[in-house]
Amino acid sequence: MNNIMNVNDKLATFNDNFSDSADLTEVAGRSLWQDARIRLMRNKAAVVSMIILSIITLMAIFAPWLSSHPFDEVYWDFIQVPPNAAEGFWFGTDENGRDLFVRTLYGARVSLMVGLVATTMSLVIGVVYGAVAGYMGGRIDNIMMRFVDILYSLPFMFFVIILMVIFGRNIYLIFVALGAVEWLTMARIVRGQTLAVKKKEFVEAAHASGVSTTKIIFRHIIPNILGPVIVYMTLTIPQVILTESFLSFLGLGVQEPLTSWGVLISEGAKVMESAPWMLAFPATFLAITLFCFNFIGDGLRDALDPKDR
Amino acid sequence: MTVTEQAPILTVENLKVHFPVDTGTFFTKKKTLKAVDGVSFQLHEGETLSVVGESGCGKSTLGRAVLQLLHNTDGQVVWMGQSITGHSVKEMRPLRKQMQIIFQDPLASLDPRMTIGEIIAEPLVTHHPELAGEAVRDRVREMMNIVGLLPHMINRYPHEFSGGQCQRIGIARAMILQPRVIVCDEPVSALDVSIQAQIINLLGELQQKFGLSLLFISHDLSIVRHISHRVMVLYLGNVMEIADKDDLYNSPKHPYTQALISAVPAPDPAVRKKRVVLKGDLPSPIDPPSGCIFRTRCLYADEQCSQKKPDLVDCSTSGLNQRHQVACYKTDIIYG
Amino acid sequence: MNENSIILEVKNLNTRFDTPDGEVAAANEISFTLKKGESLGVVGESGSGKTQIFMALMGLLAKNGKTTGEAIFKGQNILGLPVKELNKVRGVSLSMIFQDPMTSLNPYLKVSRQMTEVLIEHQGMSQKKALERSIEMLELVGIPEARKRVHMYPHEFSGGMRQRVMIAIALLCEPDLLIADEPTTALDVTIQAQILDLLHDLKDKLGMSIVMITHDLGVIASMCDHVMVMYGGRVVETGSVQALFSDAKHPYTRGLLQSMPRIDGDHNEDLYAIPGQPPNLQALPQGCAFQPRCQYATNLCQQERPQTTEFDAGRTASCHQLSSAFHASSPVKNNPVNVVEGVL
Repeated sequence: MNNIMNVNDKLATFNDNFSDSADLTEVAGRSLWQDARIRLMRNKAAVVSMIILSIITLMAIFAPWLSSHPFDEVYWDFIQVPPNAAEGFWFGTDENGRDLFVRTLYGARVSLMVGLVATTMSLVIGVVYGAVAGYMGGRIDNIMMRFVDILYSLPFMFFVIILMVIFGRNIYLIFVALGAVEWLTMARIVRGQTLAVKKKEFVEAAHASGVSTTKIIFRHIIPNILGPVIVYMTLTIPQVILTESFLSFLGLGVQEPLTSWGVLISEGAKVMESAPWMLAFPATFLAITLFCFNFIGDGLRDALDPKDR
Repeated sequence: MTVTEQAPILTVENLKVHFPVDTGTFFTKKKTLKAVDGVSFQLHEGETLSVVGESGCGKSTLGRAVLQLLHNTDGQVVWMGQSITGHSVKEMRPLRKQMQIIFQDPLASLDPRMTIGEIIAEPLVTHHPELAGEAVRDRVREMMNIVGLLPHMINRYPHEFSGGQCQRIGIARAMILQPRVIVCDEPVSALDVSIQAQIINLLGELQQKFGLSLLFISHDLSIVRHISHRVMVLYLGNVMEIADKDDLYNSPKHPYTQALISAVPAPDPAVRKKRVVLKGDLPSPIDPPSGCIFRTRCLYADEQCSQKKPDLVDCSTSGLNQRHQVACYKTDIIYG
Repeated sequence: MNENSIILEVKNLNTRFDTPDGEVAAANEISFTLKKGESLGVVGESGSGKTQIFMALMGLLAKNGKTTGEAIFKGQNILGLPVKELNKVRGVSLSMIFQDPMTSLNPYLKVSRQMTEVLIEHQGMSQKKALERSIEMLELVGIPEARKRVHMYPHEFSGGMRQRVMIAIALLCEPDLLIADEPTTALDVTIQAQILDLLHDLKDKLGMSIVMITHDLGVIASMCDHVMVMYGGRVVETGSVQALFSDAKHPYTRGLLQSMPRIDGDHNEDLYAIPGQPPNLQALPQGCAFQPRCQYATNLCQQERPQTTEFDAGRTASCHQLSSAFHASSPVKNNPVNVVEGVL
């Protein structure tokens, strides 16, 4: 039996064989997240999409400074004019003589905000709910998931319309309504992933060490299911934006003079033949944004789960 | 061996773990899968008891039931004189410090999102939340040294290590609270041959140094012969034979033990021995054979074997009593 | 059986994979011959390239892999054959069985369908004749009630039975060469013994050659005529099974033999352990790949890759230290260096 007390001497002799590893300073390892980031950065479509999205986001944030026209000012001399660079109406004006460029950017604010807030809401509720149901299993899982099934079976549009009628049109209500619906799918996805992860031996090892259930869920389960969750999230954002556009198209969305891409497209569609620019610009922005999110989602899926490539 | 003189630290009495199985149809009665069906043994301080058997014989289930990671259907697990059967998660927590587990798949047993420093420290911070961060890291580095990992790797992630190193990380995590018992669930079967020996030696060293008791679960009889003091042979959740290592390998009494030993190919072309090849496969544990559970594959089975399950009886030849037990009606016939 | 007929001759085979982190050389300068009726054991750790050689022969490499060299199978170079031509060889006179039988059987098709398909496709048999032949084959590999069982789905068979079914499928067209990749690793010892005996019998009965890829020296010893030891993508030693087990030339082979826990050996000492970790093919050490783990390594070993030395026909080793002191005192005594590693 070798004495393991003087293991350091042996480490030293052993390391003599490895001249390049004689340096014993602590090195930070490359985590799976870092690996994924490197893989994502190799994906051209995803990188380009991220750049375009960042530009759109920045434009939306700095909209008031990008144009000389306020978003709600009515120019009586310029009712529904086509794009006109000389006057600063780059995208033309709408039927009320408001600058379409700045309105499109303000629309981006609402659409992106709806996408982000509703998705974050669905993320927080869905992940915690799904992880708890999946990890607990048995009867608790059964009850929790049947509740989700019941909510699923309610007609969503009907639900939103009722909310709008009762509480009046309100942008925060849209956030809540969309988030309240989107978390259902998220919870199902998370539960499925949790069922797979909880059988892994590292969870059993934590259990055998006496780690509490809450800590196991938050420390071991959730970080290990985030991959698919993030992918699903990037695909939820465009879905939410679309739903908001649809609600606005129906006249249930944001209130005038505030606008969103859905409202702009709805207005543009009415005058598609006489003023095509009113439809073209907001629709292009919406389409590009949706494309970008989908490309990023695809890129993330490949980056987070390299085995599936 | 003097280990028998002391009181055992772990006693398992008539342990049964049954799982209900869904047989598919709505109306049929639920059946049960008897994964472990009446196993008894004692584990002494500083001792390695190996549990061998084929896949599906319930050896992993047994290991988990001993740690109360699974609840047993019947029987008792007695830890240092105190029954821990049916303890809740909370009641078990203080005891978890003293009993740990090492898994078969070294990489899967480590959380891929955590650094190995965090992984090894987890049991420590769970049971000693008062410890300061630097004290924890010092303890982790010390532990890494003991299991043969370079401490400067503390911030690396599991996927940056090879299988053997991952198993060392798993061992460090199990050892950091200085447990009395470690259940080793096939700890080397996923490793390359040249690495298996390293891990086996490491476990031996740790046992000597810290007076550990090991419950070593394995299907590999060569490795078991190396590491154990005593060996228990399991077949479909039942103990077939339990004996001191040398007794078991030199004079196996149960026909199943004989077949197992003879089936291991010797790494020597000169001894291409005639093997006792068992016919057939393991019967289903849902509908096990009546009487002796091994009789369907046994060369010596007859009418008597199908009547009643044979008890474990003493067949010791050495002075010590009850050291060699076997559950077979035919031992007299086999040995004339 | 004609003693001298060579069935497979591999010359200077190289397998490379393109990965995002650069090119990986999985197998380098592999050359060997296999005679009719012989069995060759290929031993090595995971990542030693032992499987990739034969995946290359079968045309089953992953998309990012490419192979150079020659592999003359029954007078025809099968490397780089178009798929259509290759299909006339593989599954017919060249078959392979894998470690995990469940993944290589289609779970949605009955065994009968999976078996008869091969025969109808390759030998133009009628459905009825093909079924008869399949049942015959299942009986040959020792499946009881084959006539009934042939109509079952793969999941209705136990692990050992599934491996038998795989072997039966591989043998349907009576191949001249069967490549078995860790055929018993996933099985229990008692089942492993059954399968090894079966392969042994079949080899004698059908006169076919077998390549046995494994990490288990016990399997090699009980079953093979010749052995090829691989390390870090290269062949480090070859020889007859008797020569290799009684007088291993390469320090890695010796280490492997000594680190095997033996059921019949001495059990109170520590096991011999080769220090360090298996090599990473993406970052192979300079010189000899085994050098960082070798107790006899010198400066020369760290700088230059050793050439292959041939002792007799078919008895080779690649090591700088073949003639030096360590071979005088064989076998090597237990290594005093404790196993401490952690170097990535």
